[in-house]
Amino acid sequence: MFKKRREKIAEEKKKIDEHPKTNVDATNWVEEFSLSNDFVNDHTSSNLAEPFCISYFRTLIMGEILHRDVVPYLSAQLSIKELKNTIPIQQIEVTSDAKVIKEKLLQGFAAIRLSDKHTECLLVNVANYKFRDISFPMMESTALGPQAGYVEEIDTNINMIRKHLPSSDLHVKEMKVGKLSSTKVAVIFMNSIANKDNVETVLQRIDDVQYDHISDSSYLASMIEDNTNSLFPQIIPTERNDRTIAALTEGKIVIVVDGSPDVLIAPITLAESIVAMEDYYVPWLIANYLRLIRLFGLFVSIIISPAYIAVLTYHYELIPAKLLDSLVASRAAVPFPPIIEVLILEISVEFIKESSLRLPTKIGTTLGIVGGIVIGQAIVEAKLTSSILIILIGLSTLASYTSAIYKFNNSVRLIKYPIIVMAQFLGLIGIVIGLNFLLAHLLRLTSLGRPYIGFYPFRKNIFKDMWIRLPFSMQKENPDNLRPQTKQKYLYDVKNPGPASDFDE
Amino acid sequence: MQVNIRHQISPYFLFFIIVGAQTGVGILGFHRIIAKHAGYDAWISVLIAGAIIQDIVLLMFQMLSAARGDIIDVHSQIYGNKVGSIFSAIIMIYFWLAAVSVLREYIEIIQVWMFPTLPTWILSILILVLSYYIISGGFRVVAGICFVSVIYTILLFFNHFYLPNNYIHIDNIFPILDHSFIDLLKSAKETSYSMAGFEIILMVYPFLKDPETSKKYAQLGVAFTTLFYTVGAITTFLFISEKQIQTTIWARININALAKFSFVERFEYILLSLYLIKIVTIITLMLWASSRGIKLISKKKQKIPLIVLMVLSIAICQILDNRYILNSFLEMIAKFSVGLFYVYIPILWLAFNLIKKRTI
Repeated sequence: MFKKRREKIAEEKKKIDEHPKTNVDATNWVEEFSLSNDFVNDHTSSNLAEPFCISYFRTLIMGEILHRDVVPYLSAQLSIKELKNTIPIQQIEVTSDAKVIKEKLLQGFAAIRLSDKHTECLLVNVANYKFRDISFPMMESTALGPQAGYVEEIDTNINMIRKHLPSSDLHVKEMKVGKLSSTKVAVIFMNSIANKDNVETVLQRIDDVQYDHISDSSYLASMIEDNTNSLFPQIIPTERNDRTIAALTEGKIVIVVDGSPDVLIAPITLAESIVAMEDYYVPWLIANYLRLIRLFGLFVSIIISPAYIAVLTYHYELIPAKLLDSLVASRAAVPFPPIIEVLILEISVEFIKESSLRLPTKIGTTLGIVGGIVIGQAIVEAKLTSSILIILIGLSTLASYTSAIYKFNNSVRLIKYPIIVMAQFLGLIGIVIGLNFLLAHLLRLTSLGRPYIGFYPFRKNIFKDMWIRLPFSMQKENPDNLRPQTKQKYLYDVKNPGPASDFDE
Repeated sequence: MQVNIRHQISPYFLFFIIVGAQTGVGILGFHRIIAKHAGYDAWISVLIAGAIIQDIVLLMFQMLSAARGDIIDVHSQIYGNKVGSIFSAIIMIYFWLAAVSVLREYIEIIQVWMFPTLPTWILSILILVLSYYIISGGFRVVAGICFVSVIYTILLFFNHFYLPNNYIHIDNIFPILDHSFIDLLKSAKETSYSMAGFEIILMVYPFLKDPETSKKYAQLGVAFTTLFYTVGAITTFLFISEKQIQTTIWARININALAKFSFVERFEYILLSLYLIKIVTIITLMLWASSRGIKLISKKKQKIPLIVLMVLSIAICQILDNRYILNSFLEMIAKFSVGLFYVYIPILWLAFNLIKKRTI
């Protein structure tokens, strides 16, 4: 039975391979495309015997360019070759290969033939490149630093990267992914810095991807990640150009996907999820303070509600008498066990977050006020939860959004729940077992085959930049965990360029 | 047998592995056992035991590097494959029983101090599932857990210096060297269970990238543990007198129960729960070694012996249900480890070197 089924699937696969949904071998592409109403196939003169015949997809081209740079030249009696030299557009070619013609037409080229009967075509690029303008990075905003985020167009994004790294060392490898969408994907890396194995791995994995369409870079990320079942993103998306540039110069690999404003960076470590680009725009001591706050926030957001459950269910003797007074007073009238209390609040926070995320900003703000203030106040007055718990949950919710990567924030919000359950079963031991599972999972994770956790195996120079941010003069090397080909950074070796005081004489 | 270079670890990790394997539940209550013979001078016995272990580590390294492999290769080179497997199997059983004893001892501590009514099987299953998850990640992950757990060990080391003035009595440890040398040696023998764990080298050796440099780190690791236990013994004897300590099973927990903060009253609860990572470290190391050994002997996948051993561990934990049985079990393991590593390994070393010389 299974054999039959397997055979059937194999047969179907073969069919798809042999006959892709757009028929390639049909030479009569005009007929095929004419089934769509937005396909234009016109004669430029009233006499059908005279040249030229022009065809294009109305929805894919820029009418302005077509009318200004192409149509005026079509009135003269020219051969295709001559026409090629006349039209002032650079991306232009002559071919009679039906496959190429179809492909180009679908990309927004116009095909010009002498007449209906000719197969030789002049393909002119009149594509419409209009996308939204470069705007603020929405999810990764900073107070300082460049305020340009990526857009949904691959060329613009690569342009932004190239502009900042005008070097022949910057290699761009383009490929197409997706059977139907044939989405353009570009793998970008610094050839002399990035590890060759890493580049090979990325190219190989992207090559192996088989799917109908790639709507966003997240599709690709989850297809080429080492462990697709993990909660933690092993390839991080970013919309900030400065983060991308910094990653490239360190020897990481950047993947740009057409149609996605998020650029992928790999390989990464856990530490990178708490690094914000702003850390590099403020003095290093302040940056370290901010990083510590973020790390602490991460810890608090995971631990605080399980700890509340563990202490109030099993270990009330852990709390000093004076502190216990206020805790008990606020909980005295609550009829539920701590776990129900915590779950009510945690889930209502999720409700507020989800609903305000899906709605337009104006309604979202109102909802936030209704959800947060009104319900929060009322739930305490109705004695469904204690007021101390409201404070704790509020804190942990705030803390869980301190990380700079949105994808990572979501993981942090979810891993809390198993630990809450463990805390209910085994108190403090349960929390520690949960945390140990988390630790073991992080130790097992890899990103492109490189360890994910960041502090194991121990590498000294990771600590100089990733976990702790030292002044630029002390970041002398590229991080070792990436195995970069070039170890040293170009460095200005003077620590304090200011004038010497009399003390130094 | 050589291991793929991708699975090998840098030399300095041996420090973490040794320290992780040697410091376990022993830290909390070894004081009572070592004070049986040498009294408050027992800390000198710890130093003696440390010196002996250093020598045994040297012997092990010499033997393993000559055999170019783990203990199984050594055995098969001396006794031949079949008899060698039997001897290796005995050592694997020791590794496994050591893991079980640590697991049961920790569960007992939890039952006494935190959850009096908690059934043994719940914790043993949870901890073993966690260990399985770690071991199935490969040796790299096992070493990673050791790395993290040693960070906690170092914190515990500083915990020894928590000495509230009104509870300590300096005269507890004076006069120094009041006991006979024989007593000191007897006490040194009693440390064997607490200080055991270095024997993991027997299985780890093929995983070391650079065995010669690793040797230094192994000795450093043993030195650190010796220092740890010595400081632990001295500071504990400062708090608790020689007579009193005989009635205190877990002296270190009692001392930590003195600590109070403005936001935490029973500090030892947090200490004991965090202790889990040390327990998991030892269990993963020992079960990893044991299941790997059985895998090499029986030529099966590591998964099968590991699961069998874990199920048996849960069963044994259920059987050891009171203090008397558990204590005699622990004493048996202690004797086992003395026999294996203080008597058998030196003899094996001697025999191995003689045979090697003759064949060359």
